[in-house]
Amino acid sequence: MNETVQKYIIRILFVVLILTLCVIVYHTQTVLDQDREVQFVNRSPIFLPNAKILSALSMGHASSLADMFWIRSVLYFGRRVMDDENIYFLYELYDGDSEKIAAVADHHHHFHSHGENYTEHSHGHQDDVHHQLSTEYLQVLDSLRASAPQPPDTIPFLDHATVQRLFEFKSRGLMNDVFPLMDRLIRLNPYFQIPYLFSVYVMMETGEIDWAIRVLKRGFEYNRNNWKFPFYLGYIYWVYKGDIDTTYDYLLQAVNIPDCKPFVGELLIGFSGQMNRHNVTELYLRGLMDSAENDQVKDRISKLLSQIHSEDQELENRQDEP
Amino acid sequence: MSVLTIAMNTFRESIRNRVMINILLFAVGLILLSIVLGEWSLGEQIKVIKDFGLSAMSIFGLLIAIFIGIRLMVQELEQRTIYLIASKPIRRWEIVLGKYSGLALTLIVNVILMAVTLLVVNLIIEGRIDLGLLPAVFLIYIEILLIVAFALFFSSLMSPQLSALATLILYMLGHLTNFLYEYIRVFPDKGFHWLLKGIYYIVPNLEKLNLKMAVVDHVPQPPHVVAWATAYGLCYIVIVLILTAAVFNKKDLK
Repeated sequence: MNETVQKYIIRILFVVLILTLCVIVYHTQTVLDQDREVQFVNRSPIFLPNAKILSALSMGHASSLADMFWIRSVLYFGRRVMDDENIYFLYELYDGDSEKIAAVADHHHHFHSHGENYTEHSHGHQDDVHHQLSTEYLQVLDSLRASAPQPPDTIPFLDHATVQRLFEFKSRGLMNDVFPLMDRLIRLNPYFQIPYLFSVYVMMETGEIDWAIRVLKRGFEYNRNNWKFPFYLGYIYWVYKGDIDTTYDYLLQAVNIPDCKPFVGELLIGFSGQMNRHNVTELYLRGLMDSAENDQVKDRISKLLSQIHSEDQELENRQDEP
Repeated sequence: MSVLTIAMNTFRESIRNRVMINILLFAVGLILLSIVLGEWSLGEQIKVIKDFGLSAMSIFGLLIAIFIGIRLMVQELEQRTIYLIASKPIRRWEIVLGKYSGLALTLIVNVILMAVTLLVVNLIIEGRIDLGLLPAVFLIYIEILLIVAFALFFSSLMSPQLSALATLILYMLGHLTNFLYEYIRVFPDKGFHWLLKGIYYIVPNLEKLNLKMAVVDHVPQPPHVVAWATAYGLCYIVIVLILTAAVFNKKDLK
């Protein structure tokens, strides 16, 4: 065998070796990814030093660090919401109970081995476990909801059905996980506006209204040129606290900020007693919908508006009946 | 004339340095990666790109300053080329100034390349070039110049490894002195108060050259802040260069 052929053989062997290694790397990664699927977000609580220490550690890059926390919060929030509805979150509730964990693992195995064709009806025992898990999960949620503050007895301008919808607090408890990250990032970069508003949206969902007010006030202190801070403060004082005087003050501050949407001014007129409660509610919600940038938020408000309309229609029809 | 010649030689030498090219490529890569990071930020992509872009410029600028600044002087001593220069009718401070000017020229090319990358990414994503970022970019350059002056100073005193460590510690301290000031203000009666105050005024306060958050989040700044920060940085640089020249003057290069 001459030298050139030998060289070619060695090269081919190298190529084969590299390709083999690539296949092994791909395979090991796939195996590791499968293992990772059963990890839970809420198994790893967030331990973070306080914002001052983080700011010192950032070495002048506090803004970038805040961005990292923001991305982490968004991912965490999205993932956790998904977890509320999937089997892994239920599994988490049984930490320590090996029998139930094994049953859930069995369920998980069947689900994955049968793919989308797997139906709950075809696996009697696992169905029972799943049902039992779901029931207990709902009980946990119910107990969380039970601790929600009750809405004030009277909220001017809001009808009972709207109050009931606003005080559902479906995701109560969620903020405890998101808040540490949010708190750090609004302290690392107090001029970063979206985390304040994001925190407040979540807090309004979860019922932590006093926290929401604190966060908004801090945000407004640093970002005096954003009308949304006084606007949401007004909204919260109106809807959740029933404090019209404070609402009026904040709305007045909002309209004095350039770029404030016209509906806020109209609302202010409404609050000064020249409009009826239905008009004010509708105006408020429509204004929120028009100013929202997220399609999901727009969609939710739009549904709420249609609900209010249909309820109004029903009420009118009933009144028209002899 | 001799300062200019040494500066141009230093520039030619360092621009060909592979370490610097690699660091620069990493910086450009990170700026481009910020596009992906921005995608995950729920509508804050432009802010994330600007923040990460400016941070990348600052961090990689620091790395370039440390690697090139320290290596340059050590290389001259190891290869004994410094003896050749020293034997010519050139004063020692001219060598230091020439070397420093060459490095400053190299660094400005790097900063411009990184800034152009950031602005192009900004143009593609936002549809406009945000010239408001430029004051922060300029102060990042002043910060890097200050760091490179210290790197040169340390490398004329100690081994390359120790110089790198000392420069890095100085960078960290420079960003921590604000907290030291706050501590002095909150606890004015502590016995070692004078020592802390001394450290606060000796170590350069690099936070005074940090406008990254302000330009990205459009935080109103007092008038002439860039001019004052530039004056602060340049004065520090001159002091450090004089000290470096003094140390270099004492070195036995015969």
